[in-house]
Amino acid sequence: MPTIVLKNVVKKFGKIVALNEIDLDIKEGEFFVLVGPTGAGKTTTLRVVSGLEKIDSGELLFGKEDATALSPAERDVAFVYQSFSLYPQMTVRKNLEFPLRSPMYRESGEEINSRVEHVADLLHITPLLDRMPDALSGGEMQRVGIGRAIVRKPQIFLMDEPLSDLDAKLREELRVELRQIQSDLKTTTLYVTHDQVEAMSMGDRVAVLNEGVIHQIGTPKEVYRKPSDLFVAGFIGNPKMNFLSCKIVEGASPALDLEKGLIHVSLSEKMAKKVRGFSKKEGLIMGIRPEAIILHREKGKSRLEAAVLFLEHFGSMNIINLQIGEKILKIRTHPTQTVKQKEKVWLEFEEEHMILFDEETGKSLAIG
Amino acid sequence: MYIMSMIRLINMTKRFGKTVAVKNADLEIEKGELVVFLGPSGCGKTTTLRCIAGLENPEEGEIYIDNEMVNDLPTLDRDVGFVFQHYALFPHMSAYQNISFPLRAMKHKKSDIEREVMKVAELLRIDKILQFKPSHLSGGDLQSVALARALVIKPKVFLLDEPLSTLDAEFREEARTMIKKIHLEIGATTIYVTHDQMEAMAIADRIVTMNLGEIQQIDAPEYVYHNPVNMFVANFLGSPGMNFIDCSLEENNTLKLGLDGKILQINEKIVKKIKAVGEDKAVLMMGIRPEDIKLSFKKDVYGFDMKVTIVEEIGPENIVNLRSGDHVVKVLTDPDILPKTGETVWAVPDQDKIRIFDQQTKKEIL
Repeated sequence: MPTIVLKNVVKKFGKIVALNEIDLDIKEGEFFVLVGPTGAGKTTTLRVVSGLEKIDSGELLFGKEDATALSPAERDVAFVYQSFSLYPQMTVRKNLEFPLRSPMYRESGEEINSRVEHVADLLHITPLLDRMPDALSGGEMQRVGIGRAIVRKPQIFLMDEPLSDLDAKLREELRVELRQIQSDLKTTTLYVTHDQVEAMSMGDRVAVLNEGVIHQIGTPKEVYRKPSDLFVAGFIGNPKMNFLSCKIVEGASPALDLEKGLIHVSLSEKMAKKVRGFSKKEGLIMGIRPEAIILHREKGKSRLEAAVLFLEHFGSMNIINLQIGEKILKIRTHPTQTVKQKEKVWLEFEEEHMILFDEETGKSLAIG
Repeated sequence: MYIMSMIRLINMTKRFGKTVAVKNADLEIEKGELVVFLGPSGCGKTTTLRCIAGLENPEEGEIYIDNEMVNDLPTLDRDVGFVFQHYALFPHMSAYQNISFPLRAMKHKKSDIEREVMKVAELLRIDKILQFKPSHLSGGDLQSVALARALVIKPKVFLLDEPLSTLDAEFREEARTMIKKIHLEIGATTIYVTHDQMEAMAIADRIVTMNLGEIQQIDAPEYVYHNPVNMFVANFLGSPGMNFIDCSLEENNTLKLGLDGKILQINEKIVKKIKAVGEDKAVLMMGIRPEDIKLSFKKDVYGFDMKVTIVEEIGPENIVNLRSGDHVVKVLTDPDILPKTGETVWAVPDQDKIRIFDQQTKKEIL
């Protein structure tokens, strides 16, 4: 299983820069996720790795080998797409056998049988082997499609939103199964999704892309807890991170002025020390995750007043939507927490979870 | 006071050829309610919505809107506003022309049209983009324009068919909040179709959970979540859904689990419950939600041992996947609990949260 390395890769479509100096270093056997909104360059990256697109400049290496000279077939990658086209006139078994019967792989009948059965077993589709595709549900079809990609044991899996056409429930099940299969096979995998939960749940590491640029590469935990900039902070996490405009008020003990004087949040000595080192004191954004805000029923120092808009019950937790001036803030609470619509509440921000960003550059400055 | 329902379905059945798409649906929706039809693909949720809109005709049963039977009324006379998954905007018209279209078709006065369009546009915060054509708008804005076009005619009933499912996840959450907020502001009777239980839980006053053409349960989100009538509902709601392990009642307040006959100590309350309904000899199903299981790293008689397969770190919490034979159990934990793959742990269910279902009928026994 090779590593996949992209160095300074640029890909243009006419005047549009689809990939702008992309650097990636995907390790052997790694499950690597590219996540970002529509138009981020995720699928283009996959197509570049597969050989379906040529790069305009930069390097693409499989292991130490220059891959740009290799044809798509020579690259030995298997592509899994969003929607699967199975051969409708063939049974599931025949569909799975098909890649192994191609002239490039010509395997013995015995080998084909054993591989197909192994893959069917992995994907829990053994009972479906003799069915025709039109007798399968969407989730079953997708399983067969995945099976067809993995049956020939490629060097690299490239997966382009393979779960996004499925029902939410099925998606949740299949993402764990896919992850399990990959960790059994240890095939280097590049996986594309626009769904950040999927990215967090599946990736050994995640690259967050937007408009052809990589904003951050890290483990799910790193991108969640230490986002490099406002884009990553807002994109990763559901509900989104809350953002408040902020400036540092200097004095004997520095404080944060939020939303143009709406509240002064005093800082502990530890935090104050960090903040004193900042060259920029104004034009900042304070970001805080919904689970790092504590709801109080009483006024208090450094507590921001808010009015309850509505509460969303999710069973294992509640999300409370609050109005603060023009902004909606979301906080995540225990499922037993109740509030009334329009009720006044006071919010405390856990300072060890506050992140300050430079509003102009978007870059993260400090982490609590 | 007698409150009349805004929408009422009585014993409605809709077939496509030999397939029964919706079977004996009974449903009442109050004025001003936001009701969500929830279920997997093919469960009949969209068909039910289309029957109410008049886009499909049911073979049996009655449909009432505002106390008038509408079975024979064409869509246009039913006074419903419809928003589709694919926004179906006119590509050659600006956002303003799209939104004003139904009013122009109804020959309203120009000044009235302008006032109404601006009102809706401000509500949806699209008043700055009214001059743009659809090809220049983002997915979220397109959806807002489609919503505005349905809202502007002030229909008695507002019907939304998976309005957010083509949006990127990041806009979906925002759009969902917007729909809920608008609903709270204008209070239009709304039916909203989705397969996404998070979306349903987030916005619904009541959820109608459907499967295989049949309504399973109609209740408020929190209530359905904690009191599902059967295994389907219990598993469909929740992310991840409820875990199930087959089991039978044994001596000394224990359950013998389908996990290679592992024994789980349970409290007397549960035993009494099972005996009271005469199910003590039956093959049962224990249900427990992922957040109601604690992980223990040493043997615990109130738990059962399983192997850790995959830990999903999704930010504010982790989903720990456990396996034993063919059984998979999912546990929601704090983000700092990180058991290793292959490690044996004891899953300890909260005794007060254990639910028991009949394996045959799939119904909860109480």
